Amino acid sequence: MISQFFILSPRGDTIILRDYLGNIPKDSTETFFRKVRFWGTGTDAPPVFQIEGVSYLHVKEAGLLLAAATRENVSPAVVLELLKRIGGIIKDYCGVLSEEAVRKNCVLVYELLDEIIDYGHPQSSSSEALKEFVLNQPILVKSHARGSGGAAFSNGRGPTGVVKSVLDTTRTDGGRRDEIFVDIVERLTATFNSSGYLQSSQIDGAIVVKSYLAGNPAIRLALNDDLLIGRQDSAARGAWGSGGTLDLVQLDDCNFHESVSLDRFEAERMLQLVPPDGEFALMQYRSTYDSKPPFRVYIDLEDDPASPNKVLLIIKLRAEYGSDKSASALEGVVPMPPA
Amino acid sequence: MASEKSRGEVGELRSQLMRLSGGGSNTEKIAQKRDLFRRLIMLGTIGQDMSSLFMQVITCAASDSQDIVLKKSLFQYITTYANANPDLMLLTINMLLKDCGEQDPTIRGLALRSLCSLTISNLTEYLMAPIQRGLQDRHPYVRRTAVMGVLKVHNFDAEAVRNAGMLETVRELLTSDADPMVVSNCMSVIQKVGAVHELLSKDLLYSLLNRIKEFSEWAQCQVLDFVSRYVPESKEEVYDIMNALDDRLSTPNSAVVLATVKVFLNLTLSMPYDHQQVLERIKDPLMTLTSRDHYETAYVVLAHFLVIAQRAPVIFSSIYTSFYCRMNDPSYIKDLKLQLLSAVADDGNAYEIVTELTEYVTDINEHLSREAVRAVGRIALEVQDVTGLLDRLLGFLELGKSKVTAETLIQMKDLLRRYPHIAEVAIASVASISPQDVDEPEARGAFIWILGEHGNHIQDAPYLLELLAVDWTSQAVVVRLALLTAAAKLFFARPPECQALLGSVLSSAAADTDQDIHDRGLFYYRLLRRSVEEAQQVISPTVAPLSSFAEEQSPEMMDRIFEEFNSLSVIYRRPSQAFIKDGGPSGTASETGGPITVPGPKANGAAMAAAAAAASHAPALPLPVDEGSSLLGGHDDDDGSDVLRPTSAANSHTGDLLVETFAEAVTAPGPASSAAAQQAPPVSDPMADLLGLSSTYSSPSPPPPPPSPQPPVLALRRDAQLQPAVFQQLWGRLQASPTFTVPLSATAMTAIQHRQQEFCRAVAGRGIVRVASGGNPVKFYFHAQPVSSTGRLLLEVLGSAQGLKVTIKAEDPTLAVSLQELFSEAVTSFA
Repeated sequence: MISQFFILSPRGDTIILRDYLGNIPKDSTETFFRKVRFWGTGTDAPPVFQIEGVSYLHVKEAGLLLAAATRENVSPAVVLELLKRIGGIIKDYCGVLSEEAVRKNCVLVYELLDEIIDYGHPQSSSSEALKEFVLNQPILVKSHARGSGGAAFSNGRGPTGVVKSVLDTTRTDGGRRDEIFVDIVERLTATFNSSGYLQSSQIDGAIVVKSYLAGNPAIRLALNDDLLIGRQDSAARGAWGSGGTLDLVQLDDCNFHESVSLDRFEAERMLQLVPPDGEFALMQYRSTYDSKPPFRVYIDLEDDPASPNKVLLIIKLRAEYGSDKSASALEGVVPMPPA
Repeated sequence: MASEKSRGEVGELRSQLMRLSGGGSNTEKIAQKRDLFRRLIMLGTIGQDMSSLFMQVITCAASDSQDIVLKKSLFQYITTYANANPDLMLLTINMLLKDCGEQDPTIRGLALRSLCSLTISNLTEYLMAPIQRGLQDRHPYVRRTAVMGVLKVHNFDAEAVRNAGMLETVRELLTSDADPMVVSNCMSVIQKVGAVHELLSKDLLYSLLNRIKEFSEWAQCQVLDFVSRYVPESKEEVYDIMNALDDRLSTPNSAVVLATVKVFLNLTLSMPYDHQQVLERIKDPLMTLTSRDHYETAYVVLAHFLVIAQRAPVIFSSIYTSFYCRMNDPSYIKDLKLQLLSAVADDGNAYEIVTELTEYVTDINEHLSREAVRAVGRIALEVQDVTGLLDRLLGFLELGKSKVTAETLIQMKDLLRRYPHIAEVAIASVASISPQDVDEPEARGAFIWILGEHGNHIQDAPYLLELLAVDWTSQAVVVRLALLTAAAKLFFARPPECQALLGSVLSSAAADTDQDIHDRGLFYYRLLRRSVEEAQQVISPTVAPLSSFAEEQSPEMMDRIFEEFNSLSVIYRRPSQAFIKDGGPSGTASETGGPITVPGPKANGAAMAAAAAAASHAPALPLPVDEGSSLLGGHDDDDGSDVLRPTSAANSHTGDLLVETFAEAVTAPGPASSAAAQQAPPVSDPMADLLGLSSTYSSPSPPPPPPSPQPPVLALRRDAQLQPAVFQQLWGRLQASPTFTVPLSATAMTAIQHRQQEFCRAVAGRGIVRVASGGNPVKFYFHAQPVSSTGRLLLEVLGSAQGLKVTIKAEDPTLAVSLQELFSEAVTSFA
């Protein structure tokens, strides 16, 4: 499978390096980092590329580069999912995934890594199952992500920036707190044309759970009754034009975490699960059905009457939600050609 | 400095290790040791060599051998550095062997894992016994570690593994072990050893499938890989497997989903209807995976989308809006989406897609705007109504962005090669560009190619070429080559205006230091001296419009990539042979893996086009190219250019001489100059002598290549056109000839079903033109018109499980039989 796994800091320092097969050149991390760094102007290095017969696959998480090197024709999806999972496990155990956290906990990370990958082949990879084998205690570092406003949103994770190790659930000193956090994170992508009409929109959402429940009790989660999924469902919803569609939640497609039992989902929209420790996406969904965007954008470009060499660009952003709500960490980006 | 510092650190660590080694043990000391080991590992990670501390490390840890945290750190250290200390190896092995017999299964497993990581081949004997014991251990953690141990040993001593009968044990565990992780590792071993096929039975497969949910996601992928190699006995079995795996498509793990998709696609390859259903089924789950925040996995899924879309564009032609770029997509995602958009574009959605792409053309990111132009070019090449899209492309020329203009010209060139008839529409916009504004060599080459090929429509063409030819030496090689060919071509079309141009270009070429340019210049010169008609046949022959480009990936190549679905081949867009070396794990493979190659017609220099055209005639020519240098007085290449230097110094007047020569020697195609040609000058022409060419004239040369192969029995017009309404009217009126069937395999039928446009183009290559098509099973209506008469020929083609059922109706029924032959031949060659 994979010959090497490594984690590089944003500056290219090797923080973690594990070699499994010994068939990769010594300077692989430098070769890899140079390639990623200097891929080309205006373009980003793709997650998979090959140099000198070695395929490098990487994911970027919290500024860190988690990468694997191999000489085989592996399934890229397996390797990238594995890398992502490793990132998730480190986060579950150290509370956050950051350069500082990995450096401080490098022995713990190696310990985890040895259980996750043996000889380049993935082994146990759930934070839950790994607890059995892990002995080192995490050194928690403070998360800086919360202070910087938009960061919590932009990385697509829940706003619940809880910093807690899954190893907390095994504490016996009385400091243990049984908690579970359920966040619904949605990303709405909408395109308006120049006259302000909504051209296309899509919602990508996920129910993200962070569980720290000792003893892993079963939980149930009920979703709206009027949830419709996929085309089959929408065909069965009754007559067209009956006007009932507005109150429905319609999804194109969704998928569920392994731990979820769907026995009562069809009839009652009930999800049953025994949540494993740590963070995971309970359900992910996608909807392209009509939705009302929270904002509308209008733009207007006109010549400046005062000067022949100037144009005026007017961008109007209109909030479409009630005055009892407010948006935080709103950012506007106007791309401009370089001078 | 650095080494001194590291020596200092190593020395400090050494003294601390020694300090902590002695004396008794207490919790405080253990904590200190743990911390010390942590530093040791950290320093090792950043590349410092800690191997010299081996002895001290082992002694230090030995005194607290009951502390597992410390033990783990120790094992980690050992596996990293033991290989550097072979003499201390035995010490280590003894310690690990002892730990393999511990009570605690975790320690047993850890020790076994570390033991197996010592990769020195002459130690195999020490490993066999603990691995054998491990395979029979009562704890699954030890068993699974032992199975991986088998794999490790197998990698450097396969013989030993076979002799010890370990593979048999592994096979047994594969079918009988209760722990999924053990089974998963057994699968890894079987895969690695290459014994999948001999083991793959229905029983094994079904037992794996029945418990697939127990496995980790990675092990599920392995099971799915096993399934994808299995050949079911019946259709019922196919459905059974697919029903058992259907819910794997709704997992959030892209690896599992893609592995399942591969199984489904493979299973239904010979069942066109079900294959179609599968493609419909996988659309939504894959789409959901691409919409996540994880760009990396989205990238992989989109790359697989592209492979499927190229095989079956019809499936995605209705959901093309999902492939529109989002502002914050990374560029590798945008690139793939643009390729997807051009792959799924068809007559129905091309305008919508191009409208969206036009937005990207004005993006501030130059890379994106270029790729967008390229995508529009690709789409225009594929759709039927090319003129509508041409307007968009021509519009890009007016944006005044040099990169966009450059890319547009390159695309225009390919477009004109496939659809010469659009030249009249396109030419006005192209001609309005000033050549100085096109500074990229490739684009400039394309521009010159257009001027040369379609110069008879462009008033200023000779003048524009002259402008460029003046700066001969400052032009790039591709530009000079293109100039040379364009000047020659234009000369045949407009001799009086281009004589001077051709003369100066030829003399510049003769004096050029680049071997290719030099040779091509001489080659043209000699051809022209010999016979202008023959030169025209070689340099500017009437070429049939291109139906495909050499850079396009061949269907065979695409099939091979498809066979390796869910692997790196899909990402690199090459079959694995092209990038994987099987030369052993430590081999120094020198294969330079490029980044992902852009599929589809890759834009190439105009010179390439010209060269290709010329090359197709080259074998029949009397003058092999490399003879050129020896003709110049027996010098080798380097000297050849030296000899030519004086010529370039005297360029001003040799150029004139050449012009004169041509003015007299050349039998221009126009009737006006034919009189001049009668008075061909003697061979003692100064220029000809200077180049030492006189001898070549006397050498006998074989006759020019025979004209292209005989026309088929039934000659059809390539440009036949018929309105669907007229077709219907005729169809109702005419008598049908007997119906016949072109027998085809299920795979070929699937190919036709999914690549209707390509199929229509292949048939159109024979003069049988599509009127309408679509549906499932697929239907086509074609028509054809013989060159010799106006009588129409109509075809109705219906897809069925056996092949294509064809009905012909002809105004002249005698032609029906030859049309039948022609059509069958076209179909078989496509399939």
